[in-house]
Amino acid sequence: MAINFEQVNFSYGQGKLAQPVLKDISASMPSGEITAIVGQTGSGKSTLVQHINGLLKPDSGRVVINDFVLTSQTKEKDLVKLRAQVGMVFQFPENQLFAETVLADVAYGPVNFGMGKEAAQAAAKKALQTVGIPEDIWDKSPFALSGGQMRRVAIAGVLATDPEIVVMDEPVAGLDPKGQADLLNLIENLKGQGKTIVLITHQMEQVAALADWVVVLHHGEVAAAENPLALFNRPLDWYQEVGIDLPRPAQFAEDLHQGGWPLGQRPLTVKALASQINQEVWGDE
Amino acid sequence: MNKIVIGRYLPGDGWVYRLDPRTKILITFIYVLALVFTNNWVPYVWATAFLILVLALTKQPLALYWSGLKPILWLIIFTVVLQIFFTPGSPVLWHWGFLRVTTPGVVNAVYVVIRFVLIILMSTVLTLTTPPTSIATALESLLGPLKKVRVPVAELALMLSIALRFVPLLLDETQKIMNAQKSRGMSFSSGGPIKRAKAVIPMLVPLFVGALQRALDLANAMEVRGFQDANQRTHYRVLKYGHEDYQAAAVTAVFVVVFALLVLHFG
Amino acid sequence: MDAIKIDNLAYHYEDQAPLFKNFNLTIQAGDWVALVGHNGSGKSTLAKLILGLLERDDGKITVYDLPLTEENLGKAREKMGMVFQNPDNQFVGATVADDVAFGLENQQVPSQDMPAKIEAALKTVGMAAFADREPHYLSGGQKQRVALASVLALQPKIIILDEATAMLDPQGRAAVLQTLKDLKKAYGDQLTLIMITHDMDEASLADRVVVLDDGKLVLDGTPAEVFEAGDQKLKDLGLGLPFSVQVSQALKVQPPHYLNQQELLQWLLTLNK
Repeated sequence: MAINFEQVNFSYGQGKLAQPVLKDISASMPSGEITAIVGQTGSGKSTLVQHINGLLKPDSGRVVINDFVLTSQTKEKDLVKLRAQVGMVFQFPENQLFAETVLADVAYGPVNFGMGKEAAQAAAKKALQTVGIPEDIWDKSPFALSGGQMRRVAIAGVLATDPEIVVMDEPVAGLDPKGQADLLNLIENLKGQGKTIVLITHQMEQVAALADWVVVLHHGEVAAAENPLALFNRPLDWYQEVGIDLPRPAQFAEDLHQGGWPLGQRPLTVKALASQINQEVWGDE
Repeated sequence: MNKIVIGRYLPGDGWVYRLDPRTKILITFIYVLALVFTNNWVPYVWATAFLILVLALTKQPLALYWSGLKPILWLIIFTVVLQIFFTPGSPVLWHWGFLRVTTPGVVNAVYVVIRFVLIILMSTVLTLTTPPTSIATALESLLGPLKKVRVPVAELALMLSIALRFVPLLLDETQKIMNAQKSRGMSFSSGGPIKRAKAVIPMLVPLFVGALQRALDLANAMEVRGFQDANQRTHYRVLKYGHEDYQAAAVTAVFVVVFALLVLHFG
Repeated sequence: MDAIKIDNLAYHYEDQAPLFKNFNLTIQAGDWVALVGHNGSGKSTLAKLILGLLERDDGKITVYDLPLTEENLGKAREKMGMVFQNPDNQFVGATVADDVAFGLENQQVPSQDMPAKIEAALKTVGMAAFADREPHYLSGGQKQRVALASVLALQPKIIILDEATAMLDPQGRAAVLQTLKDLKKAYGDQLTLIMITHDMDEASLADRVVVLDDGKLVLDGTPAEVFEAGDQKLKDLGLGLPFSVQVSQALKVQPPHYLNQQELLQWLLTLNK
């Protein structure tokens, strides 16, 4: 297991005004796989993932990230070690760009984590290639790029340190369909390189298409931790209760079921849905 | 960012909430002014009693005010240290080199802390119980006479209300950018002064760019909704003094008169 | 009646190649039009040109027979409202009610008339219970509905939504889209909706879909026309297809013509009786 939350509690504020956000969280995110974190807005997803690189520390319990143990006692100076292993892509990461050139921005992380100037440049170039930013704009200002390009440069800035674990909070939000598809492709490639991915998302279609494992949060507690197939084949009222949707193909199959069709396993992709329909109507195998 | 209480508005239904914002601004102003005139514990006890009454009338938990004071604790401590060590006079209680602690220094420090806390709490009551736009509208009304001497009061009031409206948003954004750059290994605590100053750039540039973007968007949104001239607008929140305001004026008058008598008597 | 008529529009951003050149588009009063295209295709720029937030190089824009000129700008804008992408950057007021009031204050509506208008507008979008809330206690979807109420309070004839759902979670998005459907039902021909989006499922809600690519109009028609005849083009542009079309295309026997999701469901159910 790459990441292990063990009975983690966390509150914002203290004393009487404390608002508990994570309540007794125990969950694992397997190494080399894509784990999706889902749940309603305000369920604690962002708070949870900020524990993975020590931006937040648990009030009680502990988080084990590879061989690093994070507790309430962990010292700030030790966190640098952790952050070098964990890349964190925040929502709308283009808002963190600052440098004069694309290349300098991407090299910021590697330099901070102690790489020499040349090594940092080389790492930055490699990361820019990974995210598909063409060489002719490496020396341009990041603020002169299109929204989709800025997003990818920001992600390159996180990947440049070659982290073992990559955490992404809604990475495709606001992008057009092409930009979304490109980025989802990139995530699969990162998994192919053996990285552990933790992905916060509201899009159940993404969960169905990408995730190997899903952790569902509800009011700061773990409502489910299982693979997508199991998750999306729970009784209908459960989704209502925790406030998540079914992927569209599964929901459509459910609508057909309401209209009198038999229901087998809920399909997670358009292809699976179509083949279920084909079989039902035309007896096609 | 839930820690910050000073400057924040919190909806509620206490008696203070029903006051006209102008009344609250005037009372706060009078209160702060009054505290400047004394260095004796008796008037301070009276002023503290008045403040406790006001806090009670907001119907907000006292813990809230306490947590509001906490972030400025270091500022208070700093002031105390300055007062204690650098007030001349006698008797000298303790000295080491140019540092000395004197009885007037200690007494002064105590008064400074009390004054500081009272002023902060009273101002917190104002901002906590009054929506920012109302403060702006009230200032526009109170400063209205200045329009005659060509002070752009309406524009300034609108600017103030929008600035206040964006404070929580910008604080939030600062936190987000700080988290993002920390994740990329940013550290404020290493290197010499120049290196440290340089470390701020990755924070400031995105914050500035973001704020600029917000400003441009907001300008568009305001323009589309027909904003042209701050002076040619009507107001949704109409200020009208009600009977609560007369009650407040009476209570404040009693406070001021007694306070003045105490100051005259005890100094 | 034409709600908006654009003739020979030309526009370019500073130091960039022309985005629009001889661009023409007419939008009928009472239509619900989806303006789609990938990022950078010019759809948001077009909206800003229509509202006079950007100054065109050349051409003519008419809003309900009123030519958009410097003198007419205020009058023309009174007929239009716009909801922007970022819910936070268009919230002017300190509370929900104050925000709705902002436009009314600009139009110099008498103070005593405002509460009723504000309440009516908030009721329409289902946010009346939140009148005294501050923006940072609202979800993104709620903020966008308030933005819609702020626009509605001014009783515009045209509402332009510039990727108004792009930053929302699925619940927020669904609530905003439902509000739009309700509005369209309530106002009918009295309200023209122009919805800028790159989500094809959202676009399929409209009566007319207009596809832009690099400032050029590449497809234009009813959802049926655009999604049926233009499916390859949409794929080439990287825009994708609505869910119902994706499913239809994967079926062994495809439906005779374009069906939206609800229609596809019905078709399949009758097919299997």
